Parts: sequence; C-alpha cells; structure tokens
Amino acid sequence: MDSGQALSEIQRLVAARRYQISLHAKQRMIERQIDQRDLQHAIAHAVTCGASGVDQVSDWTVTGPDVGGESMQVAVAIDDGVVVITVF
Amino acid sequence: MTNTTMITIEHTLDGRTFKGQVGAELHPKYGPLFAPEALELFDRKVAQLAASQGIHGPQSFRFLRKVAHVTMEEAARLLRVQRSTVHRWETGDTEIPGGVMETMRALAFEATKGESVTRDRLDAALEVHPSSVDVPTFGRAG
Repeated sequence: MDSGQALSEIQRLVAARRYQISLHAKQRMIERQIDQRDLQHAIAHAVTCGASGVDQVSDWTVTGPDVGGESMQVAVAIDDGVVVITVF
Repeated sequence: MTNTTMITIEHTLDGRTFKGQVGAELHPKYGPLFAPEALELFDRKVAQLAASQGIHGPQSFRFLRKVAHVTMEEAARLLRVQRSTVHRWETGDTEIPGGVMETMRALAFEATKGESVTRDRLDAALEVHPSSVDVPTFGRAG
C-alpha cells in the first residue's frame, strides 16, 4: 500500500468512525487540548501522509489542519480494518 | 476473545483534576484502546462537572469552547471581541472576564445536553434590528 492508498483508507475508516484511540494518544490529546473533531478534521483534510517514524507501533503519519486551521500530526496504524490512533 | 478493562483517565484543567474510568480494549501491540464514543462520553462528563463547579481559567475556557463546538472565530463573534482577544484568553496572556467564562460554561453545559438556549440568545443579540419599529395600535379614537 502506498501513501496515497493509505491516506484514502485512513480517511474512509475515520469518516465511518472505525477508529480507536490509544491511552498514550488520549493523554497527548488532553495535554495539547485536541479533541476528536480536530482529529477527524485533520485526517479528512490531510495535506500529507508518509511512513511513520514517530513511534514503534504506527505505520503512517498524517498531517492536516485542526478545526481552527492549525496544522497537526497524527500517527496511525491500520489494523484489521480499524485505524488505531497512536500518538499526536 | 477481546480482553477489556477499565482504565483511569485524568484530565486536569487549570489545576483541577477530573478523574474517571473508561472502558478499553487491551490490545497486545497498542495497549489500551478506547472507542471514540467512550472518550466523547468522558469528555462530556468532565465538561458538565467543570461547568457546574464554576471552573475558570485559560485551559478550561479552551476545553469548554471545544465541547460547545465553537471555533475561535465564532467565540469572538458571539462574545463581541477580536479573535486575538480569544487567543490571549486561551494562552493566559489576558485574564478572562468572569461574565465571559460564565457564558462559555453555559454554552458547553448546554451543548452536552443537546440544548442551545445561551447560543440562541447570543445569536439573537447579534441580529441587526431596524431603527424604527411599528407598535400595534390599541384602543380607538373618539
């Protein structure tokens, strides 16, 4: 799967709410005051998607704007038809 | 079979910590994984408690604004200030007036209940009213 195909699949699954959030990602969301609407917006309007190097478990890093237009990065894995949000 | 457990999440807002347990799936690779609905419910409960306890401060304002589904631009419009003022409130550069905080608490609390009394009132106050209004006539001459 190339990055374009990965982004399409991530966007499709997140739009269908087929995603889960790791404990670490939730803790980062609280620290950085990011909510799920920001997450969904960043992925839906992503500008880049590349192979992830931010942690041990994610496959892709998606960059896009949050609801307020600020750029944010989301590290994700695709596992058994579900997007796993691993870190922000 | 899916292995599930309850995980304690702490959400600190301006020095006050809200703690609750949320159900999670224990994944062998990713650790505890939360369903989006479970975390949304937790956030709504935190917002209700924070709003009803009169919380005040920059983190609380931003959190409640997001729970209320109000962007910075909308907050500025509804509260009749510049967007930069909202930004300074959220960064703690400027003290948030008590009335503003009270309004944001109400917006968030109502949003968690699916209500919009305060939002409707603020929107109505922003409507342009004509300078001359006809009042119905009562009684009759003679």
